[in-house]
Amino acid sequence: MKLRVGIDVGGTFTDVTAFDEDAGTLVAVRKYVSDATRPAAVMEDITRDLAADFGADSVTLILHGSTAALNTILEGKGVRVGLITTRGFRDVYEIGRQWRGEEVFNIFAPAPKMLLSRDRIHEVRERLDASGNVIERIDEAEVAEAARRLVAQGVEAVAVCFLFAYANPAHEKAAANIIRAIAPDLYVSLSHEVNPEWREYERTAATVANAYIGPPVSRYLRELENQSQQRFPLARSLMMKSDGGAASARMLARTPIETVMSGPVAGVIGGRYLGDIKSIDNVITFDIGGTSSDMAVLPGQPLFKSEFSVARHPLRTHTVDIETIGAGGGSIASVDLGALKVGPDSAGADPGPACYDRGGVEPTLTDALVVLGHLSPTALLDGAMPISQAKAQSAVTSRVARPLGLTPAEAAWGILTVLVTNVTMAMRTITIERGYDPREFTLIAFGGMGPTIAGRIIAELGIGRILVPRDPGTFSAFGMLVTDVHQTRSLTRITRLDAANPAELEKTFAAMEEAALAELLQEKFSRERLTTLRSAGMRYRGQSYEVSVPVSRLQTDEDIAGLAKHFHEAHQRRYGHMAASESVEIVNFQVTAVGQIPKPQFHELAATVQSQAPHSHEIRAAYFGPVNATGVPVFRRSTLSPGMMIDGPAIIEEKTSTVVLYPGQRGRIDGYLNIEIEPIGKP
Amino acid sequence: MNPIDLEVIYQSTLQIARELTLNMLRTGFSTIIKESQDFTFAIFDAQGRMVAQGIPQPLHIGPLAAQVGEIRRRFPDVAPGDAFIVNHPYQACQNHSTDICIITPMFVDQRLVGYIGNTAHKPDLGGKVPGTNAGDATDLFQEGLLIPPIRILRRGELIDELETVICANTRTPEVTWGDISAQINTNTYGLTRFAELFKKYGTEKVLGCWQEWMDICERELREEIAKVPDGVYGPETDYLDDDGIDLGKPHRISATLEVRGDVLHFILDSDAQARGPINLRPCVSRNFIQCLVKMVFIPRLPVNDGLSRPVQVSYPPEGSLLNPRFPAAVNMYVRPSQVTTSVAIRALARAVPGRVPAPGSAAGGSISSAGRHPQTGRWYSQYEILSGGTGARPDGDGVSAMDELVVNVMNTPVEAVETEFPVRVESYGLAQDSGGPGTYRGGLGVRRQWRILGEESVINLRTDRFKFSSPGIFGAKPAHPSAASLQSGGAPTRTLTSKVAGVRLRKDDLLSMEFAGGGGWGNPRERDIERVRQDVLRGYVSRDAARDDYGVTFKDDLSVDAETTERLRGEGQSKAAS
Repeated sequence: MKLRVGIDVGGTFTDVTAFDEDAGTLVAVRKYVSDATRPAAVMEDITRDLAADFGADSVTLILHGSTAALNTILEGKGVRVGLITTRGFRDVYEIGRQWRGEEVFNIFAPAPKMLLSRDRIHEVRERLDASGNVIERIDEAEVAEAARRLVAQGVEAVAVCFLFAYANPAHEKAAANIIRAIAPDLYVSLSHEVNPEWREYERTAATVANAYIGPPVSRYLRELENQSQQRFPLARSLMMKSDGGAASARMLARTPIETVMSGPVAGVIGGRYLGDIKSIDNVITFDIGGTSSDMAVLPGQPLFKSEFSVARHPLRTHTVDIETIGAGGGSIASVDLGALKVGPDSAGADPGPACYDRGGVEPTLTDALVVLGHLSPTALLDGAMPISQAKAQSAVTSRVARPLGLTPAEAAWGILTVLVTNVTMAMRTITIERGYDPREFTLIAFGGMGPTIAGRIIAELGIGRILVPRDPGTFSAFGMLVTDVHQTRSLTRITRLDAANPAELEKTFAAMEEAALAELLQEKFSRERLTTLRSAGMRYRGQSYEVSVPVSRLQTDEDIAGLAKHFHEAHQRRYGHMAASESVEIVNFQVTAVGQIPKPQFHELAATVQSQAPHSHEIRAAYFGPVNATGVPVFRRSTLSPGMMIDGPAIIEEKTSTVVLYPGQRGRIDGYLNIEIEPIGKP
Repeated sequence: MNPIDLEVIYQSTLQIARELTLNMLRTGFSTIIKESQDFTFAIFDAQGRMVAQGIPQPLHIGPLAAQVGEIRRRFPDVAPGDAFIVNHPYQACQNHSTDICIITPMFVDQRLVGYIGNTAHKPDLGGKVPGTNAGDATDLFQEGLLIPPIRILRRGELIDELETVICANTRTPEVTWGDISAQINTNTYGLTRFAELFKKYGTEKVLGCWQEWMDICERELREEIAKVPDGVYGPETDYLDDDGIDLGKPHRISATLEVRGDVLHFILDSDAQARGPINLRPCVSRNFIQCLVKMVFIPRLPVNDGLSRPVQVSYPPEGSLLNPRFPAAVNMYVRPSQVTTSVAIRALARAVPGRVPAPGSAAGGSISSAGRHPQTGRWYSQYEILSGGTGARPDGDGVSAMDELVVNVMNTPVEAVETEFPVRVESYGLAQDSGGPGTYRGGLGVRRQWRILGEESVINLRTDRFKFSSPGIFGAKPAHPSAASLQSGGAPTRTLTSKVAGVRLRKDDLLSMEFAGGGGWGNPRERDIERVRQDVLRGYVSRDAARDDYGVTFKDDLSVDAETTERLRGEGQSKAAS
């Protein structure tokens, strides 16, 4: 037996998925309760159970996803940080972009967030120009003095960000050597390693954030790796990164900021893999849990972004483009000014929805779904999570139905309607913004609540199909099983395409590839398992935003013309027009070295006897707005086999989620035991 | 109306406004659209009342609403497929001619049900300087092409002679027309989205929802205003340095607030209109004052016509700076907008002291330079907008390097400036002591220094607040004003005025610009001593200013010298009392 294990450590639960590579099947899907105070503690239980059930030598690969980095930032639990920067530019970090953004009408608009105070920012004499030429040599005595002052100020980590360090890292490297000589225990975060791209504010903010989370997160990563290796001596242990690839603790030691989106991104990678198996190009992944919804548009390959922020902290790293909104099972409904509002406030995991009976009194989406009959009081986690129908009913009645003069069912339907409106608006925004039409996509719904409400979402968006994977509640852990190891390099070097020499470009890419591949060779990948992907961030001269374009061969002038053509087309798609006569520039060079891990091979099951009808174990009354259905059949997903079809209204329950088929929709079980849902009568 | 429909239909309306914004961002041509986001969408009902807006530039909303009203008045015969274009500051009202509105009526069957309107700034519409907005313009006809309200689409057909005229009147025809085209097409896209909305919920229900949300906002605002004690607050007075033409002559702006029952009445006053382009059309100030009231009283509610109903604004007679007579020049209207905001904020702060910050710097402004790039030999044009600080809040210090309400534009990264242009930024930081001293301190303004690396460069400043600065409120001391200077070779440093057109700089010259801070809140001698000490430790305030403004002195180890501090603060008290 060769086991590959995905472990998704969330704030409330930790999900585990184990895949047997020899048999080609999932052999275990488990949920553990996370311990927020000791994030690594849950690993002891998980590894012990796996070793007991399958043997220590069976596990060959462990992939982690973790909210450790994200929560360290959100909860403000990083270390005391200092910053060393170029003389004359101490306030770059504090000034930010002088932009109120969405706070344009807030008379008390907040200042940009800072992870350190100004007295811990020290300037040193040094200066490079835009091409990386030294204008003023670094003053090493000043660096030493700054380092000593920071030590005296009690910092545990130092960020170093010099102007134009992306064009020439020599000064940052020199500073790092001096700091390490003076204070070997300090964590050092260098801007050219964290984010070697231009625009000093965003690079500084990312470098400071990396320093802030550096000591605790890298410690946590090492601890996870040690635990895995002690229990499973043959296993390789990897962590999911925000860019959808995985990396070892060693690779992430200097840049733990790369793991901030580690959790949500795995679901997107899983969604892409599922789409590939089913030969579906355009998918939107939709992951809704207790407090938030994560969604991503995948027109073929995932889209990426380099600018993103968490709780207003800009964290510029290469990240799969995921949008998160405050809509989840715990989103609270309330009446305000005569209108019904749902979220973004959430009852969270504690006290949780009223129906959890842990002291919550405000009605949530989960309560509404219980009142509607969509969620069973007994089915969640096979009954391990009891639900109080009475508490749900009373919360919805007292806080929404009575004040608005509605029946409890109407009120609950209203709560669902408003939440679905919020979700569909966000989905429209992310698809239209990127130049796509949501109607051309398949929705892959997972997370505890995704399959429960997806039926209403596709009706609103005009989407023609939902795909519900197996074990939707632990799908992110599944996504980890199908990832590869990534080492990404980027470099800002503004290069006019009409004056570019193909050999020069080739040299730049080749040098970056070599460095990235060297990292993966250290991870003991054999050469034949390594590939590289090149891309370029390009723009029309004078623009200050870039479009990422894949780069293939760069040997002749025709190759360069081909690259320009690809850029024009990408610009047309993203922005609705192109300017073929304008001068085109490369701004960033990007290389991703990929250490391929063999993908799990799923066996497609043959359809069982076509005529066989599924058996429902319960008939329930459920409310679907205008349609108040009394005889809704309820199925257990584990009893369904390939080829079976179920017409809505119907409910399909499983351990980690509940699938709702709306009236007018038909569900079909495919050969991988996914459920495909489409409107009946779709041509 | 059913509370679920009330929420869902209005959210869907806001979503369409948002999608129009995204579509414009996606399809616009110029960097003004794509990077400065200097454009705004709004939705109006058939009576021309604003129902919802996309992500806005606050200064666009008032003129857009005024132009929708003008289209209703002039064109009773609108038909499906029509769309209108206008930029004329005096027919009915516009900020300045480089802001062009496109207004598209919406129909269900043959019934007019509303309008989609947008305004977008243009990179160039002719006139005496590239970019059109000349700092030394002395009448409207020097400020670019004027377009009165006219059709640009008739029954869905583009009136292409207009394209010819517009393209013949701009230095950048491709980009300018590309943007106008995106404005027209985005409205047309909006028509299909609204048709879906009307079809899904029914015309009456959608119109009813809009009506009800305007009424809700009006009702909530009236309720909040009714809690304010009746009375007259102000007048509060401030000044613009000059109009860029008559350099010695400041221009007064003042505001008085009358609160009567559930209505606020702002009475604006000013000196006579200026020769230079710092005049401000009334529709602009009326709207940003209404926005200000919303921000103070009901921040969580959407912006729509309901907000305007309990807020009256009256103006000085025609021929005044705040009520200019055609054809007074208006292109630098942002400067009087900032100062008008400041006096309105001060009047409001008198009425509801705990809910309003001190006035901000009102100093945000632009520096542009042009020259020939020594490496490429091409002409370049560099344009940067920099900020002062916000006013202090009733419970905390102001924010540094941020503007209030009317201006919201990003800075240009140093690494972008030096990559694109032959200049070296020698420093970029916060100006020590620039924040207005108070119990709570105003935010600091920024300072930036540019070294010229090319042979020659010509610069323009479009700023103000070199002579007057935010006075702060409730006993604060005034903030430091802005300043600019030029160092050339061995010559003595030359001080510049706030509005400069066409000054020549040579290689190695150093231009320095420092922006005013925001106003303080309360008596600085009552500022918590530990806060003063932290400000000194962090370098926001110098030791001299700590002593002179805050009455706090330090020993050599930067611990507070309690004895001297007590004496200084005691003197301050008795002085204040006398």
